[in-house]
Amino acid sequence: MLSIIKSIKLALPNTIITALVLILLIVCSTAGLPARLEARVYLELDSPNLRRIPLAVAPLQPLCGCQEDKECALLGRKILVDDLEFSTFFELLDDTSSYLEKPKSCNLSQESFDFRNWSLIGAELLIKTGYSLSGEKLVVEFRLYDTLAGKMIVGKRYRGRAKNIRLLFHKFANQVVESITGLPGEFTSKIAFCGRHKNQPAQELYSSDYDGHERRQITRNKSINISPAWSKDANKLVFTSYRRDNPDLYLIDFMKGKESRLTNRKGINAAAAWSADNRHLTLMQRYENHSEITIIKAGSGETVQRLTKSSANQASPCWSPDNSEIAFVSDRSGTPQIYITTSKGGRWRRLTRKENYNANPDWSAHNDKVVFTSKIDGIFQICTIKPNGTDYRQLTYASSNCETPCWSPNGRHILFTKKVNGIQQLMVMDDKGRNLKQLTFDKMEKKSPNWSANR
Amino acid sequence: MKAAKVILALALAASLMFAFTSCTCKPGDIEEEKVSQPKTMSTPTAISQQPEIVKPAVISAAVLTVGNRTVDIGDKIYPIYFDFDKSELRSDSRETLSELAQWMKNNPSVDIRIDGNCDERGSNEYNLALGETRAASAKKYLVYLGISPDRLETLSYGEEKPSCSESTESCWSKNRRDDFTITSK
Repeated sequence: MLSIIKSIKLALPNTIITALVLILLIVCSTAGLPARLEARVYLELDSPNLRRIPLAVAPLQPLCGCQEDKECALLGRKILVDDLEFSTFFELLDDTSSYLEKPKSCNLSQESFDFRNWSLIGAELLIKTGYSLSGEKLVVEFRLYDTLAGKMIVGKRYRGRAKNIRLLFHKFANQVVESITGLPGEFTSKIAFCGRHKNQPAQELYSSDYDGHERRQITRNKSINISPAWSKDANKLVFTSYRRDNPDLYLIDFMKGKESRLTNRKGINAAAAWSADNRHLTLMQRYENHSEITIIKAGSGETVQRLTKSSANQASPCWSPDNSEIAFVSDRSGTPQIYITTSKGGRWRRLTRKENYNANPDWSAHNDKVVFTSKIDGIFQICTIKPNGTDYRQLTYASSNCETPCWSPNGRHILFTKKVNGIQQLMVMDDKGRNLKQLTFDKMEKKSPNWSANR
Repeated sequence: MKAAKVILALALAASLMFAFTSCTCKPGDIEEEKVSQPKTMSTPTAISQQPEIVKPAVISAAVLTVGNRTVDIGDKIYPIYFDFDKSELRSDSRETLSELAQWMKNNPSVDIRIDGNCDERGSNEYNLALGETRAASAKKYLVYLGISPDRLETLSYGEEKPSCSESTESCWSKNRRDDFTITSK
């Protein structure tokens, strides 16, 4: 009977399907819907020994009555598997040939297959995916099953255009992680960075998906553009550009498709970082012939406060997650070190004491850590430290410079640049320094990556 | 025909209402979510291209070229260079700046912009700050030598405007510099 409904649904126009689904949803909610409502958390994120849950991703199958498209099926599965692998929550059982099964019917319902086929190979979770591709129209239906309990955890159907296949699969991967951990994945987040082709004076801004795919050029002003920073809602981007000679601060509003200049104080207006509520920016500005840390209004660019008063240079400010403090670099001790001051200014304390060159702090919004770059035995490495100065850890032991680290939106990963064969490339690793992955491979020099929230 | 299908579908849906007492929600809980066009990162109003700045002056080893007029300032080497991570003037730089100050006194209508630069090593944001102080060092010295601060502008390029792009000390030493540009004559 279910398959009859399914085939009818596919044959009917969208509005009717929507009505039908609505009815079914009402039916389900009135009937209690135990599977969806008992929000079991499969992984406790705070657990010190996080176990990877064995998960199988079945080969994609065409939805009932749809044509097979091998390319689409392989690409879709790869996007999903790569996302889930990246999350570090799952052990992907990726040898599909070892557990190929012949579904009893063309749909994805749990009547169409046997859970034991999957639990036998060790899978505790199973993702079944069906797709239909006609012209530009792509429909994908996903179901995440708990093979031990023999029930569905979550099911979703997405419609979109074929060219947005990555977004579509990323969306479901977010859903899978949310169902298992209680927090969504970060697979629809974006990265912004500076790029410069060899021997070119211009440095433009680019964006890509979190995995390095879907690269787009953001600026085209043929000038020098630096330090991009996403607003916390990922709808805006500030950056510094020399396009009018002075390094002024600009803002792009992606919702309005507009760019405006925020500040043009003489001297640098650079390294801006957003407050958690997106209302303020902290940045480097020139006072008395050197660089100080200031706070401005993100809407108008109006100065709120000069935070530091020192004869030394200050750089790279960033906010604490609760906005009460700001970490920054200063050479007031003679070498660049990281300091913390309150966001009202005044009192300050020194955070880093090891090594004589520490820079580029970024304060995690989720775990109580500051990531920074530290020159150790002549090479810049990525390190983390707690804001109270304890728990110092060196995460990279690279033979070439690792610089400008920044946290992923959920604080589980760190994005940074590393010189690989003479070219600065984007790298990502988890917050313990494991699972290192190179995101870019082309010859363009990349700098100052910044990671947005999910878009 | 369509209407018949709708009725059939509704009937089936209704029958499901009774079939699922403890609804494990098979087809129904597939939510339909419209995957709308992502708010694309399409170049937001492309940043208009700044007209090429007419370089008023090119400073070469021995001469200053102002517009189409060439001014001999003697056998001087510009720009001035700095030691790694330092913004203090070296003695050779002070000599160069003394010559420049003398020339500026002889050409009182000329204004100068000083651009502070760094090599690629170290934090690019910290280098922006270092470039500020490198430019300021030269300005301070020229003011000390009697040049009005109104005639001297400063700018930091940090490590963003290298004059040499290899990762060698000889290249880095060329990048740790102040450039001088005539902004009005």
